[in-house]
Amino acid sequence: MRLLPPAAWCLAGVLGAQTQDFGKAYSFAEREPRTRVEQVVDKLLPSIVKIHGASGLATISAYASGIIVSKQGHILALDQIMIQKDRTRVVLYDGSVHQATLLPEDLRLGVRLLKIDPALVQGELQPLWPPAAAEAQFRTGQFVVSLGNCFRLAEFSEKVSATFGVVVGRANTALRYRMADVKYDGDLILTDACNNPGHFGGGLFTLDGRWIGFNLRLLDSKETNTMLSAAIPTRDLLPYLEEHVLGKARSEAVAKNEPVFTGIVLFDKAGLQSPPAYVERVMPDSPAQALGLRPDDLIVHIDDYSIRTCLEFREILKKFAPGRTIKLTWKRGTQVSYGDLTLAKEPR
Amino acid sequence: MTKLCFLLFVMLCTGTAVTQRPVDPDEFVRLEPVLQAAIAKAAPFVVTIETFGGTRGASDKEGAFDGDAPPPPKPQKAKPAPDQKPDEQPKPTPMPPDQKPEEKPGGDKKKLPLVAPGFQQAQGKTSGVVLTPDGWIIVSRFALNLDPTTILVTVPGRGTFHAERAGEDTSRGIALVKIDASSLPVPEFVHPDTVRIGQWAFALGRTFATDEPTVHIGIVSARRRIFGRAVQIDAYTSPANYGGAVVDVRGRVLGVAVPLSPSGRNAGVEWYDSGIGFCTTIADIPDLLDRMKQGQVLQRGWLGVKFQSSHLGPGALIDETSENGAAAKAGLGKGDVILAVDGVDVANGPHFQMLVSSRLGGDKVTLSVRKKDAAVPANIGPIVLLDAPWSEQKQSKDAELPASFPLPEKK
Amino acid sequence: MIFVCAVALCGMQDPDLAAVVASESRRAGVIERCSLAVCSVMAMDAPGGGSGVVFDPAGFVLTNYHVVGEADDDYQLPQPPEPTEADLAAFRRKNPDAAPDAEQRLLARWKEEWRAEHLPRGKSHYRNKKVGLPDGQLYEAEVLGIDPGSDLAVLRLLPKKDGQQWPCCRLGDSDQLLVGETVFAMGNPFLLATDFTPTVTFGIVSGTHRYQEGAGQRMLVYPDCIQVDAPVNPGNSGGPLFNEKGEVVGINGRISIGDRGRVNVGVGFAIASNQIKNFLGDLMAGRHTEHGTLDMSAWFMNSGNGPARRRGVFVQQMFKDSVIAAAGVGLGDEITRFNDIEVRSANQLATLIGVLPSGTWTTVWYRPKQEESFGDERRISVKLATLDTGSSRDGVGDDARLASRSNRRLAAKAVERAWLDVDEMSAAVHWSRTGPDGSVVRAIRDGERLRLEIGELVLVREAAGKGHAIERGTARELTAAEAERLRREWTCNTMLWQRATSLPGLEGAELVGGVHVFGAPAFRFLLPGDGECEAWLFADGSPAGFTFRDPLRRAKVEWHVREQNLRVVVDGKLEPAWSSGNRSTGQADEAWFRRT
Repeated sequence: MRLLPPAAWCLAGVLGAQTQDFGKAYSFAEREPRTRVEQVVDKLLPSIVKIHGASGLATISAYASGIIVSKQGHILALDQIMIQKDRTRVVLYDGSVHQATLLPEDLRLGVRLLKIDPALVQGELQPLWPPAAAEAQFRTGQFVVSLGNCFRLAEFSEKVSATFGVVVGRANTALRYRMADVKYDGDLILTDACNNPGHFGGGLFTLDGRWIGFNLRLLDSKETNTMLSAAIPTRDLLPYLEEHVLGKARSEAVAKNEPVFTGIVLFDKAGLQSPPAYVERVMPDSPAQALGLRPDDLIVHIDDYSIRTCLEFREILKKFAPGRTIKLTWKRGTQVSYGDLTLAKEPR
Repeated sequence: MTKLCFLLFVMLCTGTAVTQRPVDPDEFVRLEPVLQAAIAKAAPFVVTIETFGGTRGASDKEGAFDGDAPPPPKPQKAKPAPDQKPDEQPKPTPMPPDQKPEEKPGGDKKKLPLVAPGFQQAQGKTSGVVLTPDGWIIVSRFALNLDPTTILVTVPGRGTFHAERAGEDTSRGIALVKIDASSLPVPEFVHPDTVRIGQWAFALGRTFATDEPTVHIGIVSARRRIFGRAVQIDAYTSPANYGGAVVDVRGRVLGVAVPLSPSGRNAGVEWYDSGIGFCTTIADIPDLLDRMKQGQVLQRGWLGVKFQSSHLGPGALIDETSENGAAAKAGLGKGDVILAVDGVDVANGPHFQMLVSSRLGGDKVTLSVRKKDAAVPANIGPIVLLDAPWSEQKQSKDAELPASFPLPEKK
Repeated sequence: MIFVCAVALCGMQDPDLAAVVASESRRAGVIERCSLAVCSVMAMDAPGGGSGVVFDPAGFVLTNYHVVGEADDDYQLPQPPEPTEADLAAFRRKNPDAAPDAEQRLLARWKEEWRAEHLPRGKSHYRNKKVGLPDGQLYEAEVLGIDPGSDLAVLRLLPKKDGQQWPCCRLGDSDQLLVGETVFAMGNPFLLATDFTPTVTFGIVSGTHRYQEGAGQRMLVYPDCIQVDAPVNPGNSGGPLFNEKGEVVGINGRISIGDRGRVNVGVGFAIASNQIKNFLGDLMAGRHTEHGTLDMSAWFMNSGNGPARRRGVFVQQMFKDSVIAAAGVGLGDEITRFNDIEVRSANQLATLIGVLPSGTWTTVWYRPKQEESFGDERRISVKLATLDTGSSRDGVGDDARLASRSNRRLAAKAVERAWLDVDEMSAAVHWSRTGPDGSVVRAIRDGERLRLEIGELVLVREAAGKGHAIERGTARELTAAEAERLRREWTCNTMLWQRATSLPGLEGAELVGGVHVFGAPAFRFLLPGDGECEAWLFADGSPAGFTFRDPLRRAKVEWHVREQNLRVVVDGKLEPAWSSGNRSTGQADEAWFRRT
């Protein structure tokens, strides 16, 4: 009979577990999912596919993720240089490799549908569909699971990677103004669930299994000079998906804004660096004069956009149409003021 | 019978392990509304900080607040500096946000690291936390690196205010600014002694100036980092939330998220979004905050001693002393062993460093030292610590690298 | 019950908040206990370092090999001290009739003894490391075993006072991990812990059983690693990955990096604990251990024509002199099962092979490629070759870089500590096995007595030093070789014992390595005395086999046993067609041990 030495500090989590059968290791069998996160991952992984394409440029990888959206074999992917006719292959959950045909892309969203032949698929495809608008709501602080094949770590039948985090916030157009590489001009979901090369084209899911986001490539935020993880809200994908998967027609109205007139003339200088937006003069009988702007005022905000340079001032105004009322914030000495300014049509 | 005794004995040894609570499988489902409630509670006192202009270009060089010369003293109620018009006084303007310092226009298109050494500037927006109802706001020093001419604070629901810069603690990465306001919502600050490792930490930011703060989640990774100044969290911190509040599940503030590093006051930004984040604790420094309100610039305290790293203790064995340091002036030299600091026994070199570097310049310490050839220790002091000079604080290029990882993986 | 009380006492109105606070408290408690065993591993007087975890109260620490660094060519092992008067007196008493000039030889032998007792064997040596623990203390630690192949190392903390023990954590079952499970990494990233309290980061398992190529030269391969999104940064290397129960399920060692240089981007890799268990015996014994290989590569693809076309894992390349070719496998054959596990991908096969030590006997099922189709499944036993990372430079064979004898004894004690189940040995054990020629070997043991029947020959041990043989019905004295054979079998044939923990024979045993037997790792105990007698035991103390030098056959004999599985290896070669017979316990019949 042998006793443990006195004052043994060993921590046995569960009594007798050390005597477990080492031989059971490497059966590659999996236990049942227990926690909610494990359940979400287990349920949704079969719908994520791996996409391999033609090699792109140095900074664009030749692999990505995609999501099955129909039993007929439609796969949603980000539209990238690697997706080329006759050279795009989709790898399913069981490791089978399928040649994909391309459907027309959506230029505004920057996504494209691929299609594989369901007859060649053993077993059933497990498609996902964006939830209806009400259910596709997302809130800051909501937990999300992000699924995708980052760094191409999963090959063939290996499972793609899962990361975990929250919805960091909503990137509205004001915030996204300074982000390059994003075609889409609608709101984006920001998240801190890790996103890496290869992960994009995968999905963002809530803890009750709703598909709320379609992962984008890492975004370059010039507001903070950092990289951000973002996803397109799935409800914004519905028109494109409905058109190409369900055959619904849709009308697209693209309006082009007329130039606006504020009456503000800035202290602008031609040159490499655009200076801060100081007012040089205010034109008479203009919306700016009505608001009470004076020379030497510094324009600070237009709505939620922060204005740092004259160049930005002009760029932001291009987004608005005449007749629109904007909230202007300006600084005079140590006084900060704001007011509403209704944009007029540019006089000719 | 013996088996039973044995079992009992093992149970005692393992303590509460056997009576451990099971993991709640719906833990995150229940955490979600709690998190959202904490955000809602904290949102009113997380503010947006915006800076314009700057007297210093972004570079690796020393500026007005660096170097061994003491910074110019700040008057109590500083008159606002007249805003400069662009063509009146030629001064180096900060680079427009579109241009990174490394990129030459038309230069090679190779993708460079976004935050390179020396790129420590912040211009534009960061976050801040309300300290008092009458308008004292805590901001990150990161926001003020360029010595901006204009600082604006946007308080949610209240508008935008002009802010006056007061003092700062460079060792803690925070500064105070004052706006003219009243009845501002004020948070509850948590004392670091009550914080447990593993508890939730939510880093809130208002940098993006939206109607809701942004949130990054994580846990408390360690207490008393940066020589006792900050709680370490693994929530992603970056300019998106520098200066913002890190809150617990009840919406109380654990600290203010700022870039920090043991090497020095301009370092830490290179660790943005890496899972290594720090929040300077506020509840334990009321006296320092008062000093900062008066305009004082606080720096890390410096004795000027290097200890021998192969000495395992007890005490810290001195390897060399800096010429200008307080230790050399007090007569300490190579071979002396420091056995206690202000009555606290020194276990080893790193412990000694913790005890001294947790102080500020101007603080006094009394050391118990056993001189090289002496048998008995003697008390030396009180020694006045100096402000740590720039050379001690700037990030060294070949900083001690931890054990390297093997080559990077395929991408 | 406790949870409900906590809610009531706190009087919280919000049930979600109450549940969250309770979960936080539970987790903080687990983390507080586990943190005590996480340490910071640094070079003695150079910058840099990583992390480690204490897994035994005697101060054994698990870490990465790349944290330990390279062997130091200039490092001189300490010289033996001069023996004391008492030592000399004792030595003289033991050797009373030594020659007059024996003083010098006595001194030399005493110093040799000291070296064998206190210094490691082998040619390459590693400097001691400096380890900081959360108690704030710095300790010196000697490097015991290394596994450069998959980036593992074991150190031992040197006590500051006699009998010092350290808080420790145990290795859990990494196969129980599921994608989405919460895990925690602990360590000292960027050497931020000036007080050596570890940094704790939280995340989920992003992927399991990932195979990661090495850094070159067959080193630092991660054949079975856990991908996590818990932030892991430079400095976390060698530190533990915990599950929610507080068990070590991995050792963090590697990250993928993005454009920003060496910081975490949410992809960290930890060596799975079940892989570590395969090498723990070798590492604790202070060996430079090597990984196994079949010297072939296989791809997951479609192969075959027409109706025979199938998708699976097929042999693409192999060395002509590889062990797999020698066993009869050819190019294009399909590998279907490895060690009874269905092979579903090439990475999985690479994982299954890569986690095993060199020299492990494995079972491979394959389908040979024929003209139009694939043949039936065939089963072969293959002994893994070595992916050499330099252990051959360290010494010859088993001598390669062993820890000092005192450390090997300490390691044996540490392994024994894990045996919780302690059965008293009560009844006699009967046991039989049938050889390839149909001959039967039978053994009956009852305490000190042993009866061995090898075919027609019967050898009986009545007590230590006493015994007889029975040949063709007639009793006679044992020859010297037969007596020695009996002694060796009795000493280390653990299969005759119910549980190893009651063995008097393990007194003074040294842990000399590990061995993988029928899918499970076992520990090798070298027993004192002649004959190279080793008892092999699994981690729970059940018998795994034994080896000794058989004086009758004049060969090194190994027996690998697990439940009904039996493998016999003689001088390194498999003796096929052995089958295990009955093994039972019962009353001892006096007639078995009588002389007639």
